[in-house]
Amino acid sequence: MRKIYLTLVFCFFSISAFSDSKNIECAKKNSVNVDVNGMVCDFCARALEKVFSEKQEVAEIDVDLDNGKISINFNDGASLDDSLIQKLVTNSGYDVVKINRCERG
Amino acid sequence: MKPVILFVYIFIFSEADARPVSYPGGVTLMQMNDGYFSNLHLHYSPSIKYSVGLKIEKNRVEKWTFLGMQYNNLLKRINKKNSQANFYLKSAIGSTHSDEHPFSNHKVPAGFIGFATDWEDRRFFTSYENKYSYSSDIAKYFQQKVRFGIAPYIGDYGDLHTWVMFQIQHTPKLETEEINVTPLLRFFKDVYLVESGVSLDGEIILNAVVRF
Repeated sequence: MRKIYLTLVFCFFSISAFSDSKNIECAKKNSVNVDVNGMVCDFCARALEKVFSEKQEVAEIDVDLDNGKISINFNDGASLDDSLIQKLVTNSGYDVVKINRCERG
Repeated sequence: MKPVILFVYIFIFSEADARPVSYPGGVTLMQMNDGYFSNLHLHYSPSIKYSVGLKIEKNRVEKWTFLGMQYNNLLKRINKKNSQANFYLKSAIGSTHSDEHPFSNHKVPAGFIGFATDWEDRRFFTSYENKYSYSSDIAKYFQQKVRFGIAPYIGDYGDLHTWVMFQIQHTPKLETEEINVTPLLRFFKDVYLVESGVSLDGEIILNAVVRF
């Protein structure tokens, strides 16, 4: 019984950890946080801002050079799928490490 | 020379050591002005892999001017979490004009080819580039330079960024010193980059980049 209990506890925390990597709490709903490699200067940030701002689905983009992250906030009911986000970042000259979808309210 | 004329002259004839390829759709105006050369390079990047543009290089000492089209190719980019490295091939084709003795309104086919690489994180910067330029009987030269830089502070996105840099330039065929050593200060804010320094031989370097 004890083994079953420990197994269930282990599974619970494993599933929780896995879920956190897919859907995380964000400052704003309907947004994604993207970990990006290669962002080292303002020109890099500006390039990503310009590329994403041209998309009608995007309401706002915040670039965090310190942590190598971009936060993309979408307009109501709009979004970009992961493959397109990856393509836009890659075409701008940078590498996507991870895309974190935010929990929707 | 009046200050306004000097500014216009520097703005028109120069090139800088920022990256020769921008993001897709990006337009970049690069300029450099040192004791020997003044350059202008205006390029457009259809993709992250390459850029095409106009190149004007004026040798103020030997009094010749190169005018041509330049093609820059990003051979390889290595992105890491906190750093980036790039490898470029740069080439240009056009013509060089000289009206200086022994030439009289003399124009020849000309071009250059060069390799450039850089590595930087938000604190340190290093780069190397070389260039072989050929202008038939008017001029031929090889030039290479290496740079090291350090940012005394790390600013946030949108802040004024400052770099302290050190450049060593080697130009075997020119009349000036073969090796020029120049400490530089680089200032970078928004889409504007300006850098300036005075070499140990007293030559002034003034570079600027604007990215649209």
